[in-house]
Amino acid sequence: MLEYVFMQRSLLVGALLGVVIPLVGVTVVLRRLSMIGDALSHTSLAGVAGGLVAGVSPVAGAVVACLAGALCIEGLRRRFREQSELAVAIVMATGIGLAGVLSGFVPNAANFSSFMFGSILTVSQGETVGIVVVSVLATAFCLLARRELFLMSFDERQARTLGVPVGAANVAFVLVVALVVAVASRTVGSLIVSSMMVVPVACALQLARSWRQTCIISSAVGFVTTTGGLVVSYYAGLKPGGTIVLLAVVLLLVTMGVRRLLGLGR
Amino acid sequence: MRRPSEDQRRGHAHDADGTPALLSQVRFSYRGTEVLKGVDVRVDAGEICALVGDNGAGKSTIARLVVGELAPDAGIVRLFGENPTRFQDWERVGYVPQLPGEAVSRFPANVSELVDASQYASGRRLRRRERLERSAEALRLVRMQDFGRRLVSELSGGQLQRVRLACALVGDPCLLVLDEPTNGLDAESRQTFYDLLGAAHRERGMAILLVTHDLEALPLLGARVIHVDGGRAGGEAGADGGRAGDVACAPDLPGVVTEAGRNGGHRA
Repeated sequence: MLEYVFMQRSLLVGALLGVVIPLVGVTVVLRRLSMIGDALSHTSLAGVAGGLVAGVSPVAGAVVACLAGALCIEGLRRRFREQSELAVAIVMATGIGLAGVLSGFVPNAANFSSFMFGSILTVSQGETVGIVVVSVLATAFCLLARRELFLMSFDERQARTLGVPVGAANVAFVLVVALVVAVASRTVGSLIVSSMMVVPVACALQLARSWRQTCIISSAVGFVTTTGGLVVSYYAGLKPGGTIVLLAVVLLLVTMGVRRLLGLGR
Repeated sequence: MRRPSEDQRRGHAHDADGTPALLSQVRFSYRGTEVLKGVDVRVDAGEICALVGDNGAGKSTIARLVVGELAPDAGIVRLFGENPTRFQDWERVGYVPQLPGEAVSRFPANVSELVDASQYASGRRLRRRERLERSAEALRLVRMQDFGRRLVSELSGGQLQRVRLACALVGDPCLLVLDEPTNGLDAESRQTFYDLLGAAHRERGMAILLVTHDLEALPLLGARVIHVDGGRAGGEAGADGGRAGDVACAPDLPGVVTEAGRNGGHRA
């Protein structure tokens, strides 16, 4: 398996995304913004379709669409503070609507549908470099801004009076999420990436006794399930994106079962 | 008593540098409904000021204006002499807002992490050892020093509020703003909370702005009480020349410092 360049590249990309998507997902889940992952992944499809129609890089289209979607989400959340989930739903609906309409003009439908469930096995060298860069940037952001993200996740109102620049941190965070979703949609698929954001974090919440442990366990679960899912899909001839997520779900169920057997409760 | 070295290091003292909190003729509306109709509230250095009144009277709104969460439609709000919406020196302020219960039901942080992170405003000024000492001191003040490794989701309501108080105290603020900190707690937990708050005040001498329904706790705190009613508070002259909206609710409580009122409220 490892003698093939495409598998080396896939495993590298999978390992990086397996670490960074759940790391970002910790804040997404704890701030109850799980819909943002869905909204941005639907928006990324609109960007992919737009890119294919315009004859430019679909990944670039996904990045532009996700960034624009992220800024819209943050702008609408500030406008509708009491119903911030509506902002996310509006962007998601717009994204999926645009994706649906633009998909009718895409010259190569197979290329478009590969973005829905991903094609990690066919990622190019250039795309690999892009994923490495975004993964390093996103991981660095999560590490450097860990206190800000922690305080905003617990109590955003109190965070502001502790001196956290909540406005800027929110914008920066949602842009980082957008970048991660955009590059991940090419590899693991737009329909899969939000699950990769949530399920490893759910595993971590069963086990962690601190925020730090939650971040570490989430990324570890993401790493194991992504690389493990790739290996399983290689030998079993399955679609990698779906295999990765199902492996994560199985791990979550096992974790929950073990907790119940051991009588650990909260 | 406050430690002189702390004030010297920060370059200010509790009782200088502006009144901790001041509202003057403040008006505020939520979606077209006027909630505050020309409110005057002042919290001086070292005193405990309690805002009491019915639900919807505007008490929490006043607290949120003081910490700059909201901006007034008219009037002046000052936090240590500055506009709270542009305030930067958050080390001087500790804030405990109302917290929806479900926010901590699955939050995967332990008590030590939370209190340590609440020293954010001091930035990188403190060494790790000093941060740990301050966290331990804050937890001691609220008698939660043995709960450092406990997850916040495993705490009872009363314990959680004590930890949140520790988070607000850890930076040694000059002003504490507490918005209904005992909401949903049983009587014993409420009493414990106010005992600890009073002890912290005696030890540290900070000003406190307290939004509360717990009238029975106020005499023990020695609080000056302002009754907020219909969007008005102490300081507004009424038609009869008295001061409208004064402490009609607590004239019989011994030790309560009240504003003079048209209803015969007394000045202690």
